[in-house]
Amino acid sequence: MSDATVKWKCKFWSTWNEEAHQQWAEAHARQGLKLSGIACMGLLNRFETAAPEERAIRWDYPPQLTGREHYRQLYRDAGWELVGTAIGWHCWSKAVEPGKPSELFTDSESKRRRYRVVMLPMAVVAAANIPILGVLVSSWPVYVEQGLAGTAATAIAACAIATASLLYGTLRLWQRIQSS
Amino acid sequence: MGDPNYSKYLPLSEASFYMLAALDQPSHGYAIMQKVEAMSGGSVTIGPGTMYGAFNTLEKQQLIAKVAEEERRKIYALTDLGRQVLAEQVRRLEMMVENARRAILEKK
Repeated sequence: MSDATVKWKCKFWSTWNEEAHQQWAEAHARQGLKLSGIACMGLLNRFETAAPEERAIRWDYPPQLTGREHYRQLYRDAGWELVGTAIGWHCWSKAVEPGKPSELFTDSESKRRRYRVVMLPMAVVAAANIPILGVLVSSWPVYVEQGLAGTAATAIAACAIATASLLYGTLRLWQRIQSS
Repeated sequence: MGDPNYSKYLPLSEASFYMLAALDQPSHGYAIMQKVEAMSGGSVTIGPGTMYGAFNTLEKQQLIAKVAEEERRKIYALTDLGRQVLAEQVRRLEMMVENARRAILEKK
């Protein structure tokens, strides 16, 4: 039986800045806490006490829904451990070996392709949100007249925040594609 | 049948080039990774994400084909088209090297 102590920690991260989560989890590994599980859409992180070590933590979003078992086997063969999944995202972990690569993507072309896979659905949803936001805003007088101003304001604010976040995420990923 | 339209496939990325070159016999992904590293004297390493994406692209382009499956590992082989494209890439690279050598020698 393992003597490892389990700790759960919460970390907010965005799909256009997964590096923040990766660096955070890698810092925990250096302090003797190994990331061993993911829950609640990637926000909750399960850590186990372990010997301090250099670990690479990488999120990946495989482009295809089919053939996941082949995808996972290839990564496992290359020495990566699957920590967990969250809405299609896969979190991989690997002990860093001196002189050995600890990246999933090793050329610019594949990095750009990977960012495009994440960016395109985000851009589509952002674009679809804009007319919805337009309809909500243009219908504001009707909602006020019907005494639904509070509900409408909440809906407009939620839609505006979601649209702005998606547009921002699309822009950040586009910038990463350009700089790769 | 005429020559393929090579401009559709060339130039190959370094990863794709080495993957095709490593498929002199059918292999699965990890075996190709190891072979590429050995072939290039350790100067080229292909990460699993890069390899998975390249497999999908090369398979769609029909430069490689799945010939078997063993314990969740796809075994790929070079197709005739893949061999032709690789040969054309090698021919172009040789021409580039020859021209570059001449330019270097002329400068001396």
